[in-house]
Amino acid sequence: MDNDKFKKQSQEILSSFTQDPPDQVWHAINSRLDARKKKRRILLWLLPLSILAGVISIIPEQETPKNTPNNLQSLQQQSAPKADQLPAAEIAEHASGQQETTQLNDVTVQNHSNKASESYPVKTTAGKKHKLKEAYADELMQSEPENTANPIEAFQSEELPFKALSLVEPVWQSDITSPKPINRYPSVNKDTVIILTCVPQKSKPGKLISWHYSGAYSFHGTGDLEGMQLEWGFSKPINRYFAFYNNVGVSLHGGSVVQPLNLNILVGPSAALPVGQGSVYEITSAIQTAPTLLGSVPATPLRFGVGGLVRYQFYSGGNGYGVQRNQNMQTFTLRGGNYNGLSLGYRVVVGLELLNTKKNKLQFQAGFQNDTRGDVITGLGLSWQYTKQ
Amino acid sequence: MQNEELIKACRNGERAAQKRLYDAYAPQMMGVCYRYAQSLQEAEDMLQDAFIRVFSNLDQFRSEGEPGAWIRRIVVNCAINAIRKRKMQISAWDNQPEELHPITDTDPEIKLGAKELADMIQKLPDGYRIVFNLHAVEGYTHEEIGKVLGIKPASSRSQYLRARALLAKQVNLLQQKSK
Repeated sequence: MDNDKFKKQSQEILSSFTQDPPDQVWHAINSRLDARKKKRRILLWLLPLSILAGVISIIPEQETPKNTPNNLQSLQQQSAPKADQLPAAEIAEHASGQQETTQLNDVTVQNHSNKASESYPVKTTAGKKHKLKEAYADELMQSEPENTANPIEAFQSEELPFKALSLVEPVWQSDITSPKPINRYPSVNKDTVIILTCVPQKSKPGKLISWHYSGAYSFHGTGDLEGMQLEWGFSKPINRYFAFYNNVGVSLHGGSVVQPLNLNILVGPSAALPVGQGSVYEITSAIQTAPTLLGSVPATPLRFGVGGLVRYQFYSGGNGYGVQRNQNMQTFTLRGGNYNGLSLGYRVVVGLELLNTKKNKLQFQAGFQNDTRGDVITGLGLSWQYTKQ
Repeated sequence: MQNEELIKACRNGERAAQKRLYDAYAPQMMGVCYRYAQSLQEAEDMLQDAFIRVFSNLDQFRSEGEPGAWIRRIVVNCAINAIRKRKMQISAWDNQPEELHPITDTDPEIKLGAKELADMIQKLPDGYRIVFNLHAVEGYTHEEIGKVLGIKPASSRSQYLRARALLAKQVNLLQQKSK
């Protein structure tokens, strides 16, 4: 018999070969399809939530423009007329370069006419007297004393006598020791008035500790066990973008590892003899700490954290046995092992800031953690951060 | 319900329709899995994974075609993946010693039932079984098998010939016993 004939014969015989799969296969497919549907539903909820979060984080900026250095250029382009648009008398007057001394209080106003000196008058230190090379701001303070208390408000109410104006975010008084704010933004023309709102050093948040309260709906393992995680902690800023966060957390997860099909539970390693029917409910609880480096992506509401993990877990089955679902999703193996105890691991968190005020921050976050026992926990939740000013 | 309507209902996630599609093709596909698997339990796992993939990827199925052939392709791919997951070193087939199962030219005429032949194929070593199924039953060329499994076409040819020789020997033994 040649090769082709052998193949043909095999094909013919096997083409009619069918075998009825047991009902459990369909039940398992059914359960897995349900689980997928559930996961998809969660994702479908996440999408509008993310959009909503994005909208929430954008709306306040639209209502009260945040004059951050990032949008300084656009602000200037929108609001700053060219020097030739200013009244000629004003230009001439301010170009005369009268020098006046102004006490640097909580508010510092700096002014440059189009013919101002090449050196910018921001070289000063906190508490020292500040020389303005131009009289423009001083004139402003003298002529309109009600505006000097808060030039930002004056700017917003358009009561200032000039329009060539740009506004930058509040600057820490101690930081104004160099012309950085201007040099950093070369697009700022000489005929632009820059208002720097200075904040006293003592209230600089870099020194402040924030308290964190987090809660998450989470899954333990492959998703069989559902539950939640709660966490409390504090963070201390390292610099503008990073902070160190220490915490203590608890978790509680539970679930029936057998689908409601009254399946046989087989005992390993032979896994041959059915020993009973029913479902097994597993519970894991744990206490953990996860020292984390928190970071933020500049100019976005995105936040992230990476850290180590020390976890002590308690398992409802104690150290005697554990239930493991076999690959066919229908049978289970009871296995001995050590399920209580200490483990080390890592944790990754990504978040989206929904709210950011002086004292409060609210963040939607997703976390993933894994430890040396192989326990994987994923979670979705909210984190509230409170900073006492 | 016509095939097209059935597929459409399955795409919409209607569980009753999915059950109908499963009932229609599961026995045939279980036969395929049975030939690739080492055990009945592994065949059931393969079938389960395959149908999950079928229901998840129905959007990719072109309605004018026959679902059976498309499902069968998925089942075969799932079977190969499942075998790979067992961390079987497919590449090691390239270095198998010649004397393991010598290639012979004697092929008896197969007078066995489908189940008996499938049982025999199932008992073949991994490499022999997969290559025999892919080449003799599914009609893959050795070049295609080489690409799918990441082995040399020559290795696939060699595996097939050894599988055929081993099968022939077993068929002979069984047929002699039954006489």
